[in-house]
Amino acid sequence: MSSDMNSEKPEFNWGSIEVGMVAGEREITLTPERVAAHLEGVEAGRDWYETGSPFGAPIAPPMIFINDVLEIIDENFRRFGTIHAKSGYRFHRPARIGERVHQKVVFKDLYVKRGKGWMMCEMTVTGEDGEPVATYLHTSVLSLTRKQSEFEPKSALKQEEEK
Amino acid sequence: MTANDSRGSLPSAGGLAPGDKIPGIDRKIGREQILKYNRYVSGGKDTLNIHTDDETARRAGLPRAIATGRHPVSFISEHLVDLFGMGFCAGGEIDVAFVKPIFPGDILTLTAEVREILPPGDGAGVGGRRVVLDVALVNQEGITVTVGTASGLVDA
Repeated sequence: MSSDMNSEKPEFNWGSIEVGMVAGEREITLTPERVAAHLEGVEAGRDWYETGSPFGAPIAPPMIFINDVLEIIDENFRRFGTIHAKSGYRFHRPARIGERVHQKVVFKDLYVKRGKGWMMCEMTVTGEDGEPVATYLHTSVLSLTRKQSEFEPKSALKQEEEK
Repeated sequence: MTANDSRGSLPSAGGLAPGDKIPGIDRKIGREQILKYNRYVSGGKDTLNIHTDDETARRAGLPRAIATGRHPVSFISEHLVDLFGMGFCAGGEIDVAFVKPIFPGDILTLTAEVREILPPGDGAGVGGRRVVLDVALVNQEGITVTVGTASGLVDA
């Protein structure tokens, strides 16, 4: 992406996101090259991911979408210095090598805790058959360098907890 | 399994009971692994960020560069594929918190112990029991850096 296009994106911060907002969505194909790059990056390997599996064909590793939440956010925002605090993963069914999947990231909660702004978002991955493949939950501290006064509570539930 | 980890033989997931400990896995998170992972998530490019560059990390309020928390979650996931097989790829779950930073050179040990076993229809997947584990990654100094639960299905 060019720097001009990058500067058009909003900064990723407390003021630019809301609960329920779609951070982004896209379709990707799980090519053998994409899977190979993942396996190289995490130093993993298994016949199931390359030659065949009990599911009838080679499958993608469960964590194949490990970076996609942030990748989708970065496609739509200028982000710096967020700290990943929690992760949740639900593997509904394996994705097949060569399958085209739909990914959608939605901000599910924003709250203040220990003087910092926290963001929780959910990525749903849907297969070509329309069935859920995986759900990834991602919680980050928005910035370690900002002051508490910069974070106005946005979640009624969490606001009560803070009191 | 790679040259960068070690593990014992795994029990049959279907025979597990609460309190059982699962043989763990040791994995070094060296600078080489961090750069390799960063290259992967950066589309094949070497980039400067809080994971690869001390100065960038300090500007973000960190003492120095740290590994990404989710990087070693893939080790947990692969270990659970070894343990549960299809019952992890279709029905598996992981929930973890990154409670302490992982620094270049850390050697992480995955510990896992059976917390409970849910019968079919009680939070488990269709037709299978869900084995829920307490999992943690502990560094070479005995400090827990990642902690949470994970589960897979058996007898599905």
